[in-house]
Amino acid sequence: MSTSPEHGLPCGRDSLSVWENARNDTHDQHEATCPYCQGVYEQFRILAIASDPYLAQAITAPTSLIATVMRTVLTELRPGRPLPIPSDAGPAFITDTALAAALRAALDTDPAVITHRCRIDTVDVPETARSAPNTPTQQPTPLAVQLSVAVSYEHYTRHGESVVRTRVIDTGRNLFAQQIDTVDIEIIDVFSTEVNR
Amino acid sequence: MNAVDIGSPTATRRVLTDLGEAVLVARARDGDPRCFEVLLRRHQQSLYALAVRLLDDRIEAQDAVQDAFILAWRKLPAFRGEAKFSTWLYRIVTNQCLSRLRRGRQQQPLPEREKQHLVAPEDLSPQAYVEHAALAAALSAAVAALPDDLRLAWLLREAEHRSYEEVAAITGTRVSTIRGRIARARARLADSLAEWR
Repeated sequence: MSTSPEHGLPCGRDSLSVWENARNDTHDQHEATCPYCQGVYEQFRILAIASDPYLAQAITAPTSLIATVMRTVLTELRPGRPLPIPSDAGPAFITDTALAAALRAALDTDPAVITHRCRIDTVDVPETARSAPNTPTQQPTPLAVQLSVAVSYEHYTRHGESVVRTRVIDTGRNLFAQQIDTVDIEIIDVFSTEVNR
Repeated sequence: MNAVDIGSPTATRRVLTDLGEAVLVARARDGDPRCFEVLLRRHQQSLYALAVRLLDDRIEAQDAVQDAFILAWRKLPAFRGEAKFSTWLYRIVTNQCLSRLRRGRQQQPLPEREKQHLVAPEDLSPQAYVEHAALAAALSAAVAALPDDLRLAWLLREAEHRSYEEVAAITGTRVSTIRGRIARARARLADSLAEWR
């Protein structure tokens, strides 16, 4: 019996669907008795039998695969912009990507908030208010932080944003002497803390 | 305040491997290499196995997957989430594999010993086990002989259990085209196994 795989069968079914149904053992009464559909079954029966052991062959990624990739990734880290850290002992800087990682880490101790993105921009200040660059007492650049977060719907309160904002500002100030002027928070998802327990 | 209310930090920081894919992707886009590594570890096994079956060469497959992962890191800032991250990553890996195939590098066939890592049902008799192994080897050879586009479509559907829509998204083709390729691949594989009927 000819059953072109790219055309419908004389009975009106298409051979691809018949094959899928046979594979998933979801064939209906028609396919169980139709000679055209049975022809497809017979044509592909041996392929179904062969596919199981072929696809079950153990192919395990070598342990060096990820390590090799990460060695390259770490040499290509996006440097980020340097933000001055006030210091009496000479110039010190933290990159905005490192500061963002620190802020995310601080929020990661809170089981009711999951930080997605954390972007840091500098706030324009008047020329007259700037200190000379690379001086021992350089002032921190005022920063604006943009957060996208998911929050627990069981534990989110109308004070939640304020608490998150305070933690971000405190972390920037206490760890790296950064002046975070604004923290914009976008809640992009909610989740159940109960499910995660 | 409840112990998990927003603003009630715990002593334990959230474990990265517990984070959902969307969070990890967002943080990796911000330049966090640890989150990128977690993402890679989640997908490396299936992508490596796909590359081995596509290229029929473990060393070539490792190189292809490593190159693809590094390329993914470089392209990640441009990832906008139009497709699922896994679909996006599959596309990069399969493009790397197809590119290597097109370059016509001399392929080193899998040693026979490597091809025989068969996972057979425990209740198989020795004779049945040998038959299973021989059938799997025959299918392996038939798969390797398929044209690249047919082999890729068939493997994504049968080995990776991707929907027709996902296979189309990964390969950048229409669903109708993918259905035709998979049907043709099945027909060719069934023909090549005819002697086993």
